[in-house]
Amino acid sequence: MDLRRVNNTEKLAMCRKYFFAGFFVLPFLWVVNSVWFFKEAFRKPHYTEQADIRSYVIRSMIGAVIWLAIIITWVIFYQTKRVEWGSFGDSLLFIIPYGSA
Amino acid sequence: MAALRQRCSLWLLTILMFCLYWNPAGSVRTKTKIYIDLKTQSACFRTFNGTHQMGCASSQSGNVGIVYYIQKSEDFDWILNDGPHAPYIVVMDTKDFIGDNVRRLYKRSDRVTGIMVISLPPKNDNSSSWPQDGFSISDSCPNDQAGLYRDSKVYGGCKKTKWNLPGSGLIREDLGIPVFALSDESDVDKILKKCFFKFNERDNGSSRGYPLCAAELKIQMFGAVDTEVCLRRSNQAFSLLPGSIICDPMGDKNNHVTMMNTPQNETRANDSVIIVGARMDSTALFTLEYRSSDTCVSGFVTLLAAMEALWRVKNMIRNTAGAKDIMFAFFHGESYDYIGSSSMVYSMQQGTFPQDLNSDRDDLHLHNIDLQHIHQFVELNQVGYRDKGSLWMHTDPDNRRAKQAQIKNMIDGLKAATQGLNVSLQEADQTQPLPPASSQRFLMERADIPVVVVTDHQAEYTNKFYNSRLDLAEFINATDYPPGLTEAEKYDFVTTQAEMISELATALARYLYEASTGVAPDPNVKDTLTANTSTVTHMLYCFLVSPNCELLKEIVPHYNSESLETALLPYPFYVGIHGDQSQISALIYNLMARFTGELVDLDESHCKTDDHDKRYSYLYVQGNKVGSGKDRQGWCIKSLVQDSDAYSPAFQIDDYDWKSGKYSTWSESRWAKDSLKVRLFLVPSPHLQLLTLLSGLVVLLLSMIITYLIAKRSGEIFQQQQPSEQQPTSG
Repeated sequence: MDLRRVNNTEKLAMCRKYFFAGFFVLPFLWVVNSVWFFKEAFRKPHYTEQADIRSYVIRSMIGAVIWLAIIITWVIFYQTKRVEWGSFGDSLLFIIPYGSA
Repeated sequence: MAALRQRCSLWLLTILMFCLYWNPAGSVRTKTKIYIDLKTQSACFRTFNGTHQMGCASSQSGNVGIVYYIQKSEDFDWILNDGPHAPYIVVMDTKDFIGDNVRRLYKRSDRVTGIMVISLPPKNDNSSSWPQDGFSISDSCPNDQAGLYRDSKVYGGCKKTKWNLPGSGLIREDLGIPVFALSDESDVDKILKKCFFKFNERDNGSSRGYPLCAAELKIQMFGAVDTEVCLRRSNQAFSLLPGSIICDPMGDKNNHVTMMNTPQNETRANDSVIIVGARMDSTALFTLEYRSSDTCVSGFVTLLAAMEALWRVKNMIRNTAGAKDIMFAFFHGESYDYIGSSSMVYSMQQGTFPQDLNSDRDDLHLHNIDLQHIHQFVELNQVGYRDKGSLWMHTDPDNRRAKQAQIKNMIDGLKAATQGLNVSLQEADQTQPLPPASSQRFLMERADIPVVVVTDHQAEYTNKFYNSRLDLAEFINATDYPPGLTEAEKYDFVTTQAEMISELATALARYLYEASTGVAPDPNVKDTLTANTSTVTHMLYCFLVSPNCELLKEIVPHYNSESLETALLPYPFYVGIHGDQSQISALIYNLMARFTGELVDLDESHCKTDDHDKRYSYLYVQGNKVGSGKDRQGWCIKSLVQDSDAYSPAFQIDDYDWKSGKYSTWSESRWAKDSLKVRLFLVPSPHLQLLTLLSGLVVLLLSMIITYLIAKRSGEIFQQQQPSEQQPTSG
């Protein structure tokens, strides 16, 4: 979809949809939202809907950063502690590590 | 013009296709020019018990190191401390491959990433090819924690007698690096002549420069940690996916046969069954290198020969009033914490021994045998050697105190049975405990069964190669053929060991006759109760030299005949995993049927167990040759031979406590078909490698710059041809 061909009201509607959909544990929608509408929100000359679009983009960016922090923390925690967790750590495995603990 | 161009390109294409299919030069893959592959698949693999992981494994892509062949003891220090090209892959001779040396190497995994042992049969009868003090992968007190004395303060830990002095304990250690055995001449040639002596050998103490010959050893094991974790992971993944089961419990089948056919609706009195037992298995470090002569073959062949002799008078025994039942039992998996005997004891306690059938129907099956029915237990351990010219009878001191009279009867009876025979049985020291033996598991559950264990050692093992690939037939004189015999002649030649075993088997048969009937055999019966030396030497040949022998061909079904004929080595004596029955236990089952059963006139499709009398098992085998061609008679054998699972109760009990050590918890890791590999290649110096990388990067950079410049000035370099519609194309 080429944003240049879409009118402003539709752009605002899409940005809003992506923002709210991201609350359903879909942080990548927020990332997409921030990247895709970045130019619209900050670089383009002013138009009516731009303020709203800007607020949605900022909130999406904040959401994405929070999620990134959560994911990084969990990955570090799991990778370092899984072997210690024994049976519980194994139950979280999807692919069994061959030949090592 | 265009048509001509078209035809030209068509011709070119045809010629190209032709060249691709007919390639006189023979295309070669680049990797065959870089790597030399070794044939060996004899790797030490990973095993587990309830608490530890043991054995060998490499990283998933293989361990790489510079090859170094140890020729003198200073080489160890050089590899561990001075060699500049660490890590190394060490190649050593069999005589150096002993516990201490292996430990020195694998504990420095930063300097040693793999080991290979040269394991060729010696060219001359040179005893310096073997480790001087023997070699055994078991520890010096085998199966101590699984046996009768594990909690004993007086006898535990071999305080009185260290049984297995050459024991290295490698069976219980996590070597962590790949270890291979090289038993193929061409492999040894490649690694020594083409690799080590050509590139890596030190000249006058200083190391050679690059390029050096390196080896990559791959032993890719799937499982890790211990049996509990490994099984849990195997069960949790989708078992339909390949590669999701990563380890298997060890196990096999036990074989047993009773003299009487007591059905379940008659009574079996307490203390009415004499058990005679031996083990069928041994173990070694490397897969495909399982040899055994004294460790298990001597024992079970003696038992089979005694069985064959005893069953000649089966009607006399069965018709004697009050005769005790005799059960011959063969256990598998004894090297791994008594898998077979603990399994049999457990099934006795569950009431499922010898047949696991429910008795709510009218059909007959064998009356169960429980621990209280056992009158005495005679076990044959290693009986191939002689210690001071004699075999020795061992008893447990506490057991002896409890059953003074019975044990004395047993010992006197056994000694008396050797009268007139060329075998000597003496009593071992009465304060000495039992050596590692299957009967220990029975004593653990019922301490007042009188037990006598017959072995070829008075105190420490005479066998210097217990549980090792070096437990060779030559050492027990089982292959002392005069030179120049053909295979068929070797098969019939009665070896020294065959005679020794025959004498012992005869004594055992005579003892059992008297122990069961209570009456000494009269001279006619005594003569009948003589082991057949021809059968004994045939069995030794089939199990120690080659399975391609007449005795085995007679007792296998026709679909197994090809396997016998194409076998290059004797069948392995390792227990293997449960569910994958070993050839040894299957062949022993069939031999037992042949020796104790009767031929019935049924054809193959009718030769199966009767619906109403399940005591008897039916077996259809090839039989002996008819005429001079390939035809065989075909026999249907009806016998009382049974088999039962040799499967540790640890895997059968729900919520078994894996750390308790009550039962064997041994399991084996799985691996893929291409998981075991050794290959050799040259490595250049690190400087050369860096130079190659840098020049590659420079070329990349230059080509990017040149392409950019050309693209920018493409208008000047290439004349643009304007397409013109008016010009007719020239034909």
